[in-house]
Amino acid sequence: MGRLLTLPSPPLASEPRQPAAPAPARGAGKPVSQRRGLAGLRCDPDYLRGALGRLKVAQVILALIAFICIETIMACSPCEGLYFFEFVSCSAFVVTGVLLIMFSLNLHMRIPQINWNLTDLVNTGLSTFLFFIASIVLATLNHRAGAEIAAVIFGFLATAAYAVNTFLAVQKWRVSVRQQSTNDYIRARTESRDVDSRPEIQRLDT
Amino acid sequence: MPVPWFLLSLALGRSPIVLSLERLVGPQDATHCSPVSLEPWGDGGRLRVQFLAQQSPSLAPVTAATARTALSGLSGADGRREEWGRGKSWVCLPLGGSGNTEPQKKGLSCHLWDSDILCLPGDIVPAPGPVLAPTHLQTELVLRCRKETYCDLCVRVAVHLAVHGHWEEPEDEEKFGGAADPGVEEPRNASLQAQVVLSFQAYPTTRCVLLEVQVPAALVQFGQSVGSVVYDCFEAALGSEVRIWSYTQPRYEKELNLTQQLPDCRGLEVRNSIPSCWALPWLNVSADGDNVHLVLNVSEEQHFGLSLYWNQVQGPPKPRWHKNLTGPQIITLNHTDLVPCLCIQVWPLEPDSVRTNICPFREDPRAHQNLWRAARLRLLTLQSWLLDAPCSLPAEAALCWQAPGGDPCQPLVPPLSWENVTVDKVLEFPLLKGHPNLCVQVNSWEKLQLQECLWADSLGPLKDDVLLLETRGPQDNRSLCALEPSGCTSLPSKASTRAARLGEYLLQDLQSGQCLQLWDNDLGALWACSMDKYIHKRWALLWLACLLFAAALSLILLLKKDHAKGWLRLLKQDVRSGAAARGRAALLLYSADDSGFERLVGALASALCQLPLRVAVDLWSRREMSAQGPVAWFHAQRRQTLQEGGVVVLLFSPGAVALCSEWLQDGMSAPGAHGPHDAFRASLSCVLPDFLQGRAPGRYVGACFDRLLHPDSVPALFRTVPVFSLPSQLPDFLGALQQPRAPRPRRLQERAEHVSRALQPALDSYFHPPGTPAPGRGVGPGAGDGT
Repeated sequence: MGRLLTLPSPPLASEPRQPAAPAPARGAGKPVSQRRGLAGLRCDPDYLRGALGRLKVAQVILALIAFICIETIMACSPCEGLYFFEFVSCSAFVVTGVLLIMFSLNLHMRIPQINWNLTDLVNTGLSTFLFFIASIVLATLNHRAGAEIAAVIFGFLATAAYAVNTFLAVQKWRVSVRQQSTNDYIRARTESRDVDSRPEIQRLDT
Repeated sequence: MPVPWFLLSLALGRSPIVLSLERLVGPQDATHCSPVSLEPWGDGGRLRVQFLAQQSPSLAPVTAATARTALSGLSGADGRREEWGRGKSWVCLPLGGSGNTEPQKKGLSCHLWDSDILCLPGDIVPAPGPVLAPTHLQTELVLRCRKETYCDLCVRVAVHLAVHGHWEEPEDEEKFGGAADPGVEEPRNASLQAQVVLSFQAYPTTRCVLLEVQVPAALVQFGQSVGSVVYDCFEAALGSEVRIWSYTQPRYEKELNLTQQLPDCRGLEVRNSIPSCWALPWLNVSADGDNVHLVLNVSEEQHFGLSLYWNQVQGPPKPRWHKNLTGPQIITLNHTDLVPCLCIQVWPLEPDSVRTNICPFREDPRAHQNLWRAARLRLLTLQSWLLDAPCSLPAEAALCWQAPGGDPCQPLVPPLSWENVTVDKVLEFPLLKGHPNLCVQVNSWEKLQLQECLWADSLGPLKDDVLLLETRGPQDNRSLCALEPSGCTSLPSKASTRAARLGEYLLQDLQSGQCLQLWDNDLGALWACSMDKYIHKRWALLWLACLLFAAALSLILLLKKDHAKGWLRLLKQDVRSGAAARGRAALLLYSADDSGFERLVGALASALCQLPLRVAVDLWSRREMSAQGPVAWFHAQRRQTLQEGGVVVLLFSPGAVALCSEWLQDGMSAPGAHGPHDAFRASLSCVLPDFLQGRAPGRYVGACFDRLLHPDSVPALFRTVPVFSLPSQLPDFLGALQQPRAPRPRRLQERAEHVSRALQPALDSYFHPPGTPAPGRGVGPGAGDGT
């Protein structure tokens, strides 16, 4: 029979409690640049070497080429399909380009209020869908013009690139969601651990 | 006979061709006739000055020698010339090929009536048989001379006769025998006779002469010409217009008509023969670089008139300039004034003088250029338009299609045709609708002279439309072709031109009625189809530019986030503070002698807040003061206040003065004495350096309550700044508290009123506290000498 040990009330902390340190699993462990403005720009080669970075570069290039191809056409009948393809390729080019710049220069960390993974996922998903539709529409308006056929091909290639990116982004997002919940659990646990200042009680989950 | 007529001039080159005219001797008129073949007057290699009934006057070079030879041949060889009696002279001559015929038997005979007759043509009656009828009128100019140098211009008329009218076959004649029409002339075996009337009209004369002609039976062949009758001659004036009619009496056919313009002195070498040409100013035209000089070679005293005008084919000439001059002159014309129909008329200033015209610029290339530069096409209504030009020239006009983009205008001539256009005459064009791309081309002598797009003003700029030409075939089938710079491509086609690629769509548009019909004919139609909806408009580039701009803007904002935040904050501050920002900052420093005094100071601070002033006093910031410590707080407040250009108010009270003196004398305070004067000690430590270094004036203001302390009690160090007693010097105190830009004094007075009203109750309650019998200093610890 063990002795019942009475637990004295824990003393009040003399210093105010520090906020919980960020869990080590959160973030990538890279040093955060403290300098702000243009001087704080640093290219992130890991991102560009990774699958997502390369896919983004490919998407930007393919969207741009598709846009240029469709712009060289002078006469169209009817023109609505062309206008839609132009709109899609133009918008995808600019938005994906901006996201590429932001991710490769780590600018997304300066605005922590926006969930960048979700933004990326939405962008790639929407671009996949719109590019697919636009390419199909353009293919049906077949005029045997070289520029149009080239634009259709590049449109489908861009669709493929965006599709792969969507798949990877979904995976990443799911992982991050799981991590988020894990992080919360770990934080809560750490906090509760800090409160307990009785060293004699053995921790079973150290 | 000189006649003051207005002339139409002949075309002459720079050097007038010399023409010698035959001279007739004798004042009487005469006639002669001859049974010549169908080419009279041109036989025997003779060239004469001839004026035929059909064509306009023209001059041919004449060899004088051959003319005289011919005449001598006439008179000498084959003919017989009777003496020319008065009114009864006639000569019958066989001329031409049939030289070996017997003149007496075979020749015509003609006879002139004595005097002129009345010109009464009568009605046309049907010919009872073969009759003589005039077929041809020819005129020739001769000179009738009374003396060697006194001649008149005379018109010689030749009438060619032929047998016309009812004619029966010889067999029928035999059968019928004597059952022929009992006409005047017996068929075949009798000679034909006719009375030919020549009517001559020239202002002011009108003459009619009657010639009796008899043709022997042998020469009578139906439909053939039997010869000619020549009448010498009708006198006329130089440069006049003459009309000659010829018909038979009774009249079996329509009369022959000949209108002719006689040349003027310059046209014929008659300067010395005809009196009216003696004193004529002679004009030479010479070119000198860009200008043209008219050189008038006359004697010194000669008066003459000169006029420039535009000669018109139809209608009166358009005068440009007229002047009376004397003596030799040189007149200069600018080359931009030249037009082909610019003519110059000169005449001596005598009554009824003959006027000479020359039009030397007929073939001048500059004149033609000026003409087409000045020509304009005017659209009167949709279907009629007018060519407006100084001179009339032969020109043709047609519609053409002008495609935008600088290609030449293509004439729509296969479905349409070239129409002759006359200057100042309205031309009708069967268009259904106007179109800005439709232009009119005017060609003259196979060269494009003028091109104008007549609907550009009313319908706007060139549209990017395609013109479809429809040709209707015989079995109601139609073929369409699109007009392109490379030609008309038939639709549908596999070519690589724009219209060919959109061929099916254009056909569909045509079927559905979206094309505009411009012209319709039995054989074809013109349609204009809009290509607007087939053109790829570049809105995407605009969208791209907007997106790029937005992206760049957001990236820049991202990178300069701090700046952006700073701006935002400034904006917010500005909006919030507004008028409050105008208030000056003020820091009130005092020594808390007792709680009553504190309350008084609080009341003063509240009153000053309404000024507006941003008052900072430790009463209201106890929390910060205790958090930071008094010294730190005072330092911070003083620095901030002075940085914002504010003012520090030192409120002196007896306790404060005592502290100051202690500080200034000892330099050190008694340690450990934590009392209510702690704050003032702390504030002194911040304030003293400014005073010691002389930076105080302008930033510090002193004040004291006059019932508590006399201003003279304030230590000398602090008197470098103005010290005011309250409430007596309240207005001045407030003035010193204001910003350097002084407000209006009335405003100040108002504020002083406000503040004194707010302060008075506090003052009263301090100096006359309820319950105390006498006015005195406020009770409280630390009153009097402060430690």
